[in-house]
Amino acid sequence: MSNSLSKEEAKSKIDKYAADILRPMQSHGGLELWVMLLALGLIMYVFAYFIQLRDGLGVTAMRDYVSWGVYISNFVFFVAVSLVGMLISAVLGLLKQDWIKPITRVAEVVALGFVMVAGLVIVNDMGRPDRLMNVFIHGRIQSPIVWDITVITTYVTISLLLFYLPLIPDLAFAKKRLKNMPVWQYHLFNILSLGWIGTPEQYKILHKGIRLLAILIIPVALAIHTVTSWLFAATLRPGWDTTIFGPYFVAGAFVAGAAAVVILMYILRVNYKLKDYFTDFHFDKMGQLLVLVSLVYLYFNLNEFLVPAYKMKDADAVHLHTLFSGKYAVLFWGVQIFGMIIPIIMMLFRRFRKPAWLAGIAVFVLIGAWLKRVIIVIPTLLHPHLPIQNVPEAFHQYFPTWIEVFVTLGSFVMALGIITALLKIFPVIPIWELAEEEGLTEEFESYE
Amino acid sequence: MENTSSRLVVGLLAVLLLSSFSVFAQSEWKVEDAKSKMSNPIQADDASLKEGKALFKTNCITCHGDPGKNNGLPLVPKPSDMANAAFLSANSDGAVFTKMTDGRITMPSFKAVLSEKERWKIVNYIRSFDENKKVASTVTAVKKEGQTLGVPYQLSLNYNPEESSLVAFVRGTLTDGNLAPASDVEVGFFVKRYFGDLPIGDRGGVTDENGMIKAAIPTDLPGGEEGKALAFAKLNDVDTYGDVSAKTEVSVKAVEIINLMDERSLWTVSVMAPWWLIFTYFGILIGVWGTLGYVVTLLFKLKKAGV
Ligand code: HEC
Repeated sequence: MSNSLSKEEAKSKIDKYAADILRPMQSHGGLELWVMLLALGLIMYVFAYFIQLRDGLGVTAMRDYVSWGVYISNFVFFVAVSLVGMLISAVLGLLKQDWIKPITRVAEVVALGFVMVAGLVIVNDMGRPDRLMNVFIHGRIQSPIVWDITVITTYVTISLLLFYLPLIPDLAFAKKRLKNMPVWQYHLFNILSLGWIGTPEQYKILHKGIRLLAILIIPVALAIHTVTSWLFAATLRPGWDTTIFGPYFVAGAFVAGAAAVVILMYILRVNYKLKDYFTDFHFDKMGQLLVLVSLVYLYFNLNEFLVPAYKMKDADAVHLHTLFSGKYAVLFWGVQIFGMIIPIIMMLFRRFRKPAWLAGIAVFVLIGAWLKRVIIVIPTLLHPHLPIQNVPEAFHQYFPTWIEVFVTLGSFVMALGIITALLKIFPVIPIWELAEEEGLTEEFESYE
Repeated sequence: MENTSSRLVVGLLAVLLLSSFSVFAQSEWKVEDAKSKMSNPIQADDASLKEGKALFKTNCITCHGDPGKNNGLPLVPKPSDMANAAFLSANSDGAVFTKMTDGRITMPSFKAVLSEKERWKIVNYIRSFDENKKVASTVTAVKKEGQTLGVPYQLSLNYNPEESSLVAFVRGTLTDGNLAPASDVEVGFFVKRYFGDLPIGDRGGVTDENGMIKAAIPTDLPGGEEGKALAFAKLNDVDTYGDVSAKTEVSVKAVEIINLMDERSLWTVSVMAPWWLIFTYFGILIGVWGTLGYVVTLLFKLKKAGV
């Protein structure tokens, strides 16, 4: 197939792919330490959650006013981060942005890790998780909660398929190439590769399946975060009662997700030694993407805060003053300045889109994105339209207890655990797509 | 020296005493002497008592309750029972008048609501409960041809559908055992509602010399699909007349009862959701999962294409 490369060159190129991309699946430098850290986090989580389960939600700081605390803020964040799978593998893929190819699997893994745990975060917020089934038995399709459950389940399924389908040729490839694979892994790859031998017919079917999923995931992903925003916007509350919440959430989600992918790319570049795949060029492009979605998000923020602030309706005024100059001012301005404005300005310059710089900036953006969810959820709850009479003074404040902190950390541990497992068991870059791009499909399939 | 220190102690004690007194004074409602000494310019005759009673009913009873029943609202500070002996002996006519005129915190000022004369008439009515200064009595028992009217009392209720009114007829028992119409008996009219009794006919009134009193029924009261309601009358002063009441069914406005759960809406159960929502929800669900199902069949095809 390849015109420009000789047979020898083509072979050595594929061999390099195999060596570079498959090697980290078997050499686990630093993995034990990382897994131990995760295990420790998981133990803390189990301990904290056990206490919450035994004593009830009273062990959290949530009371009659703030009934959605860090758990729900965290849930919104998890759903947000998972949206990046759709942005990168579907939107950019369909737009024929070929530079995105090596990054698609990383994005899909991030999406899977976060969306799978998002459901659990909701269960953690329930006082009686044993009654979870009632949501399915008695849920009413008139309620946004039921829509949310529906779209999240759908999104998990599509994400799984969109992770799995592009993996099939690579599984067959890895099965042939990897010596002394553990037996379970060999069987797993054998079954999952569905007898892939790389016939043109198989390639045709595979492309068709991936294309269908890529198209389907766009409306579903938009729905998942729009519906999540409706959980707030369908309520009559200052700060939530706004018509732009859907696109505002989606834009914010792209920011969080793109930042998470940049960070993971950097870790893989260093730890998996993938400099030749996640190159300066890729970081530059991801930096452009991140600054683009951040600018869109900034634009939504202007609308979301400036318009009500210009009018200052009574109820909005209380809310906005808390954010602008009241109890939440430090957090609000910190997030807006260090999580959005400064990163945007920096990323406009090429030198800050170099890998290490960009990864550092992405950390700020991601932390800002998490805190932003706290700002969206909690201050609004502190100012109901109809205040409760004679409430204890403590109900007017909210600061998470250590139980909430550990349970929330636990959700990160689980998401990172899923991401780690997927990136250790499977090749992190779609090798066959690289080969296809270079016209080396024949070489890719021909190894015996 | 000793003298100074003992003076100091006395001074301190005095300050303490005074300050505790001023705290006390906050809950005690004092009226200036001059105002307290005002005398009532209105004669406490039957007419003024009757008017005072009516005014008291419309303006004060909601908070202070029926005099002598100690059933005022549980506010803090509590609105005193106007027939309470301690209250009556502590407050001169002028004091009652002033308190009513000025008001304090929850106790509204009636300066702009009631004329001075009206306020004095209420004072007369309140004073009529004062055992020490009883000026005139609201006659409850009527003498008739040398006989005294007393218990048991009877109440009959007549419904006039054309006029949509009720007439209550009260009779008491004479010493010889015969019944005779009782005048000046307080009667209340009510219509039974879901959550209590709705007073009608201007909260009732007292019977005339024929022992009768009339009350209009508001015809726009909703009365279910049949437009019926249960009206009743009762003698308010249970202590004097006993627990006497009579009821009758009356016609009010017929209304169609709409059960909000019967129509397709956002607030009912799932199966009663609006059609557009059902079609949208399940349409999307089937469309998306159908496509996913198709992708899964592609996987089988893929497998077959490999052999
Ligand atoms: C909204 C409820 C309310 C209404 C209506 C009301 N009162 Fe009062 N009244 C109070 C309360 C509460 C107090 C106790 C106020 C205080 O001590 O500060 C009070 C106190 C008083 C006192 C002084 C009682 C005392 O122990 O010193 C008098 C006299 C009085 N009311 C007369 C009247 C009269 C006469 C009317 C009708 C014209 C009336 N009030 C209507 C609530 C009400």
